[in-house]
Amino acid sequence: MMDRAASLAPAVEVLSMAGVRFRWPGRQGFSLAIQGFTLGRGETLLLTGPSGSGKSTLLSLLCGVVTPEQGGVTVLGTEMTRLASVQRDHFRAEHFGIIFQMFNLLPYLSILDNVLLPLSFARGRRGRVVNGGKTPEAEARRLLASLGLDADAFAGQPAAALSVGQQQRVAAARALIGAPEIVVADEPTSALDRDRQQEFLDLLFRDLGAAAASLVMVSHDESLAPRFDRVLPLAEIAVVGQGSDP
Amino acid sequence: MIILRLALRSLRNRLGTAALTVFAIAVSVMLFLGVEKVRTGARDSFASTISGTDLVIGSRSGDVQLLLYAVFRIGNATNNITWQSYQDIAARPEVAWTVPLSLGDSHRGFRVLGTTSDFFDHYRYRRDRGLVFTAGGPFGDLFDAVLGADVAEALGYRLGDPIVVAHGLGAVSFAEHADKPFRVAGILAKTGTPVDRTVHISLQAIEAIHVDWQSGAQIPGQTVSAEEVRRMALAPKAVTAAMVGLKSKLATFKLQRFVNEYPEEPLSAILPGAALQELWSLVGTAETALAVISAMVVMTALLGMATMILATLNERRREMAILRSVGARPATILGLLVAEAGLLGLAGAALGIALLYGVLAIVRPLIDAHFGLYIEIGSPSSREFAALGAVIVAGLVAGFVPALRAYRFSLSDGMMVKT
Repeated sequence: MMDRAASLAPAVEVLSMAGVRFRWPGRQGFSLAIQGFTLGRGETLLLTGPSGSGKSTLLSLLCGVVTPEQGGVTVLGTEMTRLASVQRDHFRAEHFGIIFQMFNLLPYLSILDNVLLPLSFARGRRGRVVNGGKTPEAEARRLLASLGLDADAFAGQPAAALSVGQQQRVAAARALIGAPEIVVADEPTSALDRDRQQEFLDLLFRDLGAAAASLVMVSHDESLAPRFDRVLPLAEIAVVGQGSDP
Repeated sequence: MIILRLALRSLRNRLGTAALTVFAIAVSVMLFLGVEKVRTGARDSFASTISGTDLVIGSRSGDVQLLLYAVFRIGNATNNITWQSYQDIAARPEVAWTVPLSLGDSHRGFRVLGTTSDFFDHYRYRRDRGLVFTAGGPFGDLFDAVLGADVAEALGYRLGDPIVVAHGLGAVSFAEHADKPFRVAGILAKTGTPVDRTVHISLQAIEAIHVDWQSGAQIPGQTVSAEEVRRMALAPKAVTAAMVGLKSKLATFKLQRFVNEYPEEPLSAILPGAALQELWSLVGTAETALAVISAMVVMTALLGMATMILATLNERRREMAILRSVGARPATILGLLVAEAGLLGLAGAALGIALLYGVLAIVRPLIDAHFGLYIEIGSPSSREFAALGAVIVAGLVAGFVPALRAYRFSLSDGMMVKT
């Protein structure tokens, strides 16, 4: 696994940003400037900051959902700003696993299909699963079980049948399937109570380690800090212009 | 494929609304194709009101007018054909048969047609269907009458009932041929043609009831009893029109020219098929209006579908963001919503066809029996398939409205929707 990551990214950094300026199209006032930002291979990073500090915008930039007006975003040696939007979407599917704060799942798909969803858009990730000698279904069940969900009991159920904590674990399984290099999590634990937060992070970190993936997690909860390799207050790297973060 | 699978799952998740939408589209499609079916059925029934007759002959007039009074018993002849002319035409070598038609009297609002028993043999409708007696048979006696199906049903007549023919055409008549009553000798099966609304009596009987009449009134003091009239020679002096069958269709235009140029009196000969087409083009505007209205109903149903998808769009922004986060392109989101609209349209069209044929199978015999309208149930025609295709394409187009909106959402929201 480490070899794979190394071959894709000769540099130690899997992700770097420099001299980035960004403005949401059609939204007056808000702008974000980022001097420099890097993420190492296998590193777990906690980005902290109050709401309105541009966390969500930063994540959108990292994942290539939006592109900066100035500056560059390099992921795994690829300059994202040079890619066409279709290529960026494809690149994101292949190399990023994303976990939202809540409502991560498509309500009309079963738990299993929700976990398998990225493989429909990312051939490379599907290939990794299959080359690892597993069917996608078996890998999804393994991940669910590893995250403490009894796959046999849950797999066929609709997403709505799960508690919030269980849904977040399904989202983690989806982010991890096919071993993407970078997992991005936007306040994934803020909807959970403290015991569940710890449990969720325990499981997430264990599986991250197994896949040698890097993690960028955004949270305003600094009590989570000790678990991370590095904690970065957003204010240290980013300058937010007038207005508020939508 | 993933798009289609997602679209299907997403629709199944909203089964209630989706089913209602499909049903609305299906009903509109059924209406649309049903109107189309009735339209073709009506046109075919109309065009085959009279068949097997090569020419209809009357006094000089327009084609449609002659058709209206001779076949549809609407309006009046401007003039009669003398019996001499009629026999001249009947004697032509190319003529196989002729049936005289004599109009002018009525029975309680239904027209009385004076003709010969040949009428029941030679009158053909709906390609090659002949007249069938449900009771009795053709004229046996001078004062025998044969009733069309509607006449018998509307007036409740049975075989053997006496009926009195009135002079003139009003439903209420003050001049009745009461001294010479008729007897119902036969009742015809329903045809969906003007025959249903006609009282048929023999040509001699027409003469007989008018033997003591002059200028539309009975001559006072000169009454001739029914018994006396039986002993008289009843050669008709004139008929209103005539149906002519030819030995060979090739002679049609030759005889038509002969009749039109007949030197003794001004006559017209028309091809009933051509005149029916001409008449249909007059009344056919209504069918176009019907088709336009039913097309609008389909449009309404599709608009309803677009509205349904649009209405759910806001609550689905989260779904769009999730799909974007796992790598779906904005185009995929667009495709997903268009696919949903397409699936709804397709399901609606398919269900609509099924409903139409189901309903047709049930009501067709009833329509045929009550309105004489024969609706073909074959496999859907290419025209219907084209209409179905149009419905599905229109559904896809309607789907583009919400889809483009979702596309813009997914571009501007990115993956970060806080809902």
